[in-house]
Amino acid sequence: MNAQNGHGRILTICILATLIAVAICVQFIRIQNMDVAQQILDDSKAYQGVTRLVYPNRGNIYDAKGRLLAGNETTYEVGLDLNAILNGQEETIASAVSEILGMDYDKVLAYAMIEPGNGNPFYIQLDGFVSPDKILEFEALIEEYKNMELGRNQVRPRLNGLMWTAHNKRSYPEGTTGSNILGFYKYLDRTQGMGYFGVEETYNTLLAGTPQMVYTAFDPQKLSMLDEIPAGADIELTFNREIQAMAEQELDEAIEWSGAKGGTILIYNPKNGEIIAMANTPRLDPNEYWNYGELFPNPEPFNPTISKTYEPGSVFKAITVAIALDTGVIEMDTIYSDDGAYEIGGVEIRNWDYGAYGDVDMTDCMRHSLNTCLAWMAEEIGPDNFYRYLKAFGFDRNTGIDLGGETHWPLKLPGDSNWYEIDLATNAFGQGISVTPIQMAMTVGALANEGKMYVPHVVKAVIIDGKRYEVEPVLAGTPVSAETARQVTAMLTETLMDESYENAYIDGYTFAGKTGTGQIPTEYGYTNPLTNASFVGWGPSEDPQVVIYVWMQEPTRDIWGSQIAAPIFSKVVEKLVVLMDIPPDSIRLLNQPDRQVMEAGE
Amino acid sequence: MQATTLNLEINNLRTRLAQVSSSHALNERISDLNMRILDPHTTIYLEVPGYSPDIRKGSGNQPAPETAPKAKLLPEYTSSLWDWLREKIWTVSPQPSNTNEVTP
Repeated sequence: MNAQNGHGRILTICILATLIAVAICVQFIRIQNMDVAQQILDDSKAYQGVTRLVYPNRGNIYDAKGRLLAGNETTYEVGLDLNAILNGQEETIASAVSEILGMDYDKVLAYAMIEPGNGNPFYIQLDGFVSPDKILEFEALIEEYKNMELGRNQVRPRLNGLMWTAHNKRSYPEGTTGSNILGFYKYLDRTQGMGYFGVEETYNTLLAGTPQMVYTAFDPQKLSMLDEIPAGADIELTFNREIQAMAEQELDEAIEWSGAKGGTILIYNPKNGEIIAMANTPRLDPNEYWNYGELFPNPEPFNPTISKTYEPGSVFKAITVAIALDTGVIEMDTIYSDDGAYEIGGVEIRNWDYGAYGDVDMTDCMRHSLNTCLAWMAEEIGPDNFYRYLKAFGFDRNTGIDLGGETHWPLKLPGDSNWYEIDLATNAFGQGISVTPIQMAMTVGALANEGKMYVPHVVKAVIIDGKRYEVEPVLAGTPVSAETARQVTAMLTETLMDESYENAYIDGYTFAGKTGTGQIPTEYGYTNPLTNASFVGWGPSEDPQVVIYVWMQEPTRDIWGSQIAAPIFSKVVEKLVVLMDIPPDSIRLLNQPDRQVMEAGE
Repeated sequence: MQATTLNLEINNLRTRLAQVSSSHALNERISDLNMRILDPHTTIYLEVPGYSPDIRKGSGNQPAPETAPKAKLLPEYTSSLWDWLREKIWTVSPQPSNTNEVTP
């Protein structure tokens, strides 16, 4: 009976145990398949690791020859892990940090003495950007402490709790060179940093890449190899570092020599719109971008070449003469009889030297830069045609260059309340109309490139995941015919050969060009005694490869473009032909005597 | 982690190289060596058939990582007991297929 009872109990326990086991299994299966199973799994991860937003390395920026202009260098964050600081070693840490990082001893000591937890932090950042040299000093100190021979009762000094973590810092190896094109990245803001101005701003999204959420387990046994977060795109620019540095050096010397307030030297490829160099003043060292406010007090633009408008003066005559030739109101041998004055809208236009030149052909008009001749030309063209052409040249809009901050002057048109008949005449010789240097370079590019005008750009290619994507040139329009462009080039080549243009002469090379002296308007009219001196040139004339635009703001040495901007142009071209491997005419034209540009005028 | 450290080092070395070979640094070296800019009029030009001067020689063009980021936990730590049972016990291993012997 007892045995039966015993068997019964065992059987009951076995059944119960089996039922419990089955229930557990059922519960296993139920939990694995219930709706919130995934949520429970996800929630459990919070106790197994941490999810962080990881920012990829910012993409590099290279010049046209692949030389680094903006990259990343290693810097360190130094901080205190308060849990790891050994008792009695707080002063050792404070002493080391104050000695190596130059921080206040008492401040560091106060940090080191903080008890972690209970509302206090566990970690304190001392410095976010410490150079590798300083870290080496810390390491040497630790080694020194380790090997220190101790006396009786002497405690070995230790830096436990002082920690450093490597991270990237934006770096610009070329310093100020090309900084107006590059812009800068506010690297001190490690999570919200972004690019400002230039390429850093325009291409910020591409350079920054895509931040990703990355889960890191606390258990090191569970960690597999960390996959790399793809870096931001690399960008290759159109400008050449050597040419840019040369242009900046020439500009700095020219400003000192001429007493100008500022200036620009712009070198542009008319065949595809590439910017070969864009030198401006002032220039910021993007490694120390915090000096921006001091260097560019409001409203000084970061890049005047694209953001500053001014009345260009006689360089604009190259555009007017192109319009006159293209509309057929003049031919190259048309004669204009200059008596020193031309009346339009009740206002008398006079030449720059108040002279009268008699019968002159169109090349002479340009050679002597006759305001009267150009005013007559504009009236012959007529306001409708003249402004239609100015729009075709793009003077009523931005060029579309791929740099942030471009502006343009709103073109006054017939019918506007601020347009008067006299504007037609003054606009024809570059007064009463304002332009940016980049607009002038692009429009003159049409004259240098068979009438075709390309949108200026500074980015040559973008490299994403090891694949290189070329930026295709964009045709902005064909404002004049190829024949007109060749004729203007021929006229202004002949002009530049004249001895009155000796300041712009380049030994061994044939270039086309035009000087400009723009008066500066004030609220009382053109009362400012200073001017904007400029020069635009392109060449070699038979097959122009570059347009060079020089603009000097308010030079004090002389007011005339021919005296200030022309010699700068000449010096730049002399160096440019070496850097661009352009041989002199005697070599270049040796095998192509039929490519003389002067033919166009014959 | 090693990859990250290595990447930091590569970036750093690339930037250091660019700093020591920057246009300012090279100009200083040029003037220290008493070198001067080439005069185009004293240059002798030679025609070299097939020569292409536009060769990239800088530090650009480096390949970027091609793989997308993946979960960092090993698979055995992410599968559930249920998955494990299903995979290891209840999944019938496939029968080896009959292969035709190839006689030489």
